[in-house]
Amino acid sequence: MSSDKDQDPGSASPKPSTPAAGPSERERWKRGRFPTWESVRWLFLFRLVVMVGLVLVFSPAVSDPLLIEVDADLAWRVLVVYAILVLASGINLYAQWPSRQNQVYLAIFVDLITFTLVMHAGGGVDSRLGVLLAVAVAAGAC
Amino acid sequence: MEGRLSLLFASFASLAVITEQTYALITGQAMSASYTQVGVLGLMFFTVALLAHVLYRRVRLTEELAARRKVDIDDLSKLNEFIIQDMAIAIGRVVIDGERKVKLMNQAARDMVNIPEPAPETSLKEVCADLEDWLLDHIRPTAPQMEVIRIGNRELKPARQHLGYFRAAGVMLYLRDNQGLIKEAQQIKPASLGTLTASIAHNIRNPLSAISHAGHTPASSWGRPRACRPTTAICSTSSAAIAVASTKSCAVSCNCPGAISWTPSLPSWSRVAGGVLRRIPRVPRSAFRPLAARVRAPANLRGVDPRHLY
Repeated sequence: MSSDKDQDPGSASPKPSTPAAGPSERERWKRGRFPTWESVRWLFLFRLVVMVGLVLVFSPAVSDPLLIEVDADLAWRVLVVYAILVLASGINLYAQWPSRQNQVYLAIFVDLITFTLVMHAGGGVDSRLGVLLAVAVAAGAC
Repeated sequence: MEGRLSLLFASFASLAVITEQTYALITGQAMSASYTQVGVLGLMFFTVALLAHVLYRRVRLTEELAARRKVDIDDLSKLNEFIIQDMAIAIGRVVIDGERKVKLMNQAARDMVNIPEPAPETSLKEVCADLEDWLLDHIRPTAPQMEVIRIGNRELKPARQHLGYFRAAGVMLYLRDNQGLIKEAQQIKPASLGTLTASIAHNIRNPLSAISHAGHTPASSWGRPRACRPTTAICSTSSAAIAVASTKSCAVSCNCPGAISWTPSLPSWSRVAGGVLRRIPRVPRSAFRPLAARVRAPANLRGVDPRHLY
């Protein structure tokens, strides 16, 4: 288990009094490289918003005329699992475990699978939900 | 992540879309094959991934440059602090920013205001309220700066210099110990007097050596007339005495008191006067005693170099 409780440059932290006492500038810069905890927090927020949006769109109580041939049961089951996974990633973020990079890998893989399934449930490529995958790919670059 | 992983994600996304389309065709959920749309989607994924990669590289380069600049600025700050500390030990220097917070302060200034090393961003008021009051009164460029302020047991003579045209550039304060300045001024006076004395002594020596030489030349000749002897002797003795006097004045100007031999007790002034009168030609010895008896030592005389008396 690679614990990565690195110091986030965005967070307030007491500065070392002498340069010899603390890590060097380059070391601190390396620690503050992307993805920082700040960017992981933003990714979590983005996934939360997308999750809430998808839940609202595919909710059994809502019948959107734009979504044709929707497999609502499959979409709902996938979204429930996705919601659980997103909330679990929030707990991981709070505990700062696993490392920042591993959290991002996991989040993007989960997003790719979920959005593919949601796209399938929403009627395939014609449903235009494939754009969500592009968003996930772009988010993975952080 | 290095940005390149976004290409991997793009490929995964493309594969997922292709798989979904194929699965839909196999299970009969899709009415017609839409592989063109799948291809456009895949292209979009890779375009997004490449853009993200390029952007990531740019951000990383910018960050690296910023980190390098930060290190350079930190080094410059350390260099500035070192220069401020090392400029002059006796002069306190305090650098203050536009918000009147202390940026730099050398050891002499800390000693003068009698505080330990202030924390960063400490205001001048916390460091020394009197100094801040003085600065507020004299912040204008035309304000006179001859005032002496008292901080603790010290009398300080502060001066300020603006580090730029705007307030944000800050001010540098120079703190001088007034007692030290007075001592320095007192030391300058004897030094200039010594320089003057040395130049006078130097100018005396040149004609003196000529006189001495002129006295020695007839004294050393074989056929000298008897009448010349006292005159040449007086010339030689007087020039030697003046030479000694000029040497001693030089020694005084160099602040070397060991070069002067003071007699601990005053000599008999009648003997001194007798010795002087004896050198004068054609003065009968019987006239020495009454003349010598009249000589009195000055009342404020504390010491005498005996070589100047005879």
